[in-house]
Amino acid sequence: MKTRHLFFFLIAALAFSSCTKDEALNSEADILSVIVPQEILKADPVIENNRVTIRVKPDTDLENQAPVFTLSKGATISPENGTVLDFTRPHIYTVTSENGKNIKEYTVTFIIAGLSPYYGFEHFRLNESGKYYVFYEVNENGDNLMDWASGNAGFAITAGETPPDLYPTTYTEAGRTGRALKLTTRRTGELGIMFNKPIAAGNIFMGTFDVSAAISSPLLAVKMGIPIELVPDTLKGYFKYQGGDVFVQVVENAQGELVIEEYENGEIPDHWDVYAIFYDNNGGTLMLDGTNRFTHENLMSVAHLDPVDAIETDQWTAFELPFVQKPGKTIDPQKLANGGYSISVVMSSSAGGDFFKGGVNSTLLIDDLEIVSKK
Amino acid sequence: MKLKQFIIGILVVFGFFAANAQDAPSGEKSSLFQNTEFQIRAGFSIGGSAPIPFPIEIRKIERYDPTLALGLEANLTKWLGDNQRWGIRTGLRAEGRGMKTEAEVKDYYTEVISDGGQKVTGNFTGMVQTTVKNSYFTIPVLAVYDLSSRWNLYGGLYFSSLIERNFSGYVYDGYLREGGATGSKLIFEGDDKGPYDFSDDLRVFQWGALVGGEWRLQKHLQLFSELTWGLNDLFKKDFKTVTFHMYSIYLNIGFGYRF
Repeated sequence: MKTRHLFFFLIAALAFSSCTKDEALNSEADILSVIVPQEILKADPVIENNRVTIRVKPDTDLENQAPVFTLSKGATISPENGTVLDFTRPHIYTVTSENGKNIKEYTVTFIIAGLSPYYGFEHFRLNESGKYYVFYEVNENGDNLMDWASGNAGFAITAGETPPDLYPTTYTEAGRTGRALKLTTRRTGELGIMFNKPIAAGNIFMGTFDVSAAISSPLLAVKMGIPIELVPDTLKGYFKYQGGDVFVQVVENAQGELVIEEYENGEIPDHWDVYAIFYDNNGGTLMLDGTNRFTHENLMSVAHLDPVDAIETDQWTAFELPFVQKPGKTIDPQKLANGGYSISVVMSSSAGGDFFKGGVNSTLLIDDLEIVSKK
Repeated sequence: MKLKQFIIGILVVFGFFAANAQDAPSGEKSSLFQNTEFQIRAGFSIGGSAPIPFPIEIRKIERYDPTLALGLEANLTKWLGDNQRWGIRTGLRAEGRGMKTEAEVKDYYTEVISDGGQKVTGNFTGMVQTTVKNSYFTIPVLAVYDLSSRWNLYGGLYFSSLIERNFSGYVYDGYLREGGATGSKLIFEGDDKGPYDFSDDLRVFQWGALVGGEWRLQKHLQLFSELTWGLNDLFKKDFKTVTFHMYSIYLNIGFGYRF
């Protein structure tokens, strides 16, 4: 009997020590959403891990804005919600988690200026974690007009200590004029292979890259579109291109498993891609993504490079793509003035990059991009 | 399987000694074998590698599977004195210790790691699957007390050496915040899995306390039940990824044959 008591005691002790504790105070310090008067918004605010970008209509009083933020459970923000600030310049907000241990800074920017028609890829900075470059555009006053989005944030997940120059999206000093954009298809290493994403094409686009979806649904991570007050007619620019020798792709085998295939010595040539989409953004609420960018019913017009023109060349070569109107679509001038239409220009060093197909080290240089609008 | 051959070898040697001890006419027993008992045992273990104290990051154990972990042991008991009240026992055991769990975690620091060693580190909130499948050679050093004609109680220490190792699993259905609680969110959903493998970070030497009892079914056959409680961390000292200490706690149940 004694033995049984002993066992009972020990098992009870074990069970007791294994009881789950009460949940800890929340450790997250996120801005979940931002509230400003609906009538000033050109598009839904874009919230990234350390940035909030709010595009507003031209008649907005930037000097007196009092945004209100919803936060992670229990978190607090400084300056306080509803504080009136002059947003002709960005402000830094500090969010503190419920448990007080984590602090995150957000740069909150109101953008009132419209998109520029010309893009020289002269301006870039390191992202918040200092890992990769982010290109941005400024107006003559130096105000930020737009950050270019790229898959660099996704590449960073598996990149470890890779220096910024070896990311897929970077720059070269040897531009046609000044600097130029440099897109290179890179291997993603062991972890990338594990996630069946063996390569990352160098890409850049107008919109935002939602890194949270990068592993689970990469096509949805690419959110395209920024409001524009002009009707685009032609997309022009200059490029140089060299395709990579080793072509990598992910295919489904007979058992329905994803396998990675490699073709050496240029067996499958790679080619680059550029396109632009112009669409009705449903009052600033719609962004297209990798699944519907060419098929969505809201598309007004599309400009797309013909694959036969995606040649290899070591000379700056011009391209000029007309926006081809979708049938039965007409522009509403009032909607246009209110930012009701969005554009995204997308470039990639491997045309199949969205599906993790491409030539390793395929390199695309782009400079002096221009969106020519209809008169 | 080297392990199997080794176990068979050990059993043969012990069997030989045991047979000799038994065959010798009682009056002629050498002093070495006087008041000495040989036993072989087979059993299985139920338990796990448990974090103690239970960390706040683990919210709920959704599933627990003790797995089939078998053990074989040959031991020898030297009774102190002819009344055979107290004895000391040692032996050699080959045993598996394993479990499979699925747990719901919040803010659980981990690293998702590839075969090549690349890793993503951060705080995970969601589900974690863990498989532990380790094999050890164990030497128990025990005091045995003869409680009654049917009952023996015993207790002492055990010392184990890891010979086969696996501590691995994956995270799923949740999100990893890269680098810590304020990092970018990476969502894992559907079939997405973030594997991890900490097998190489397991500590080779393990020791702990052991208490148990055996019940004599008949002259030779015994049933036993015992609890082993690890007293050092399952992982190496310099291993920081699992932020809490884990200890092996197992209940072994089986039968023994006394020669």
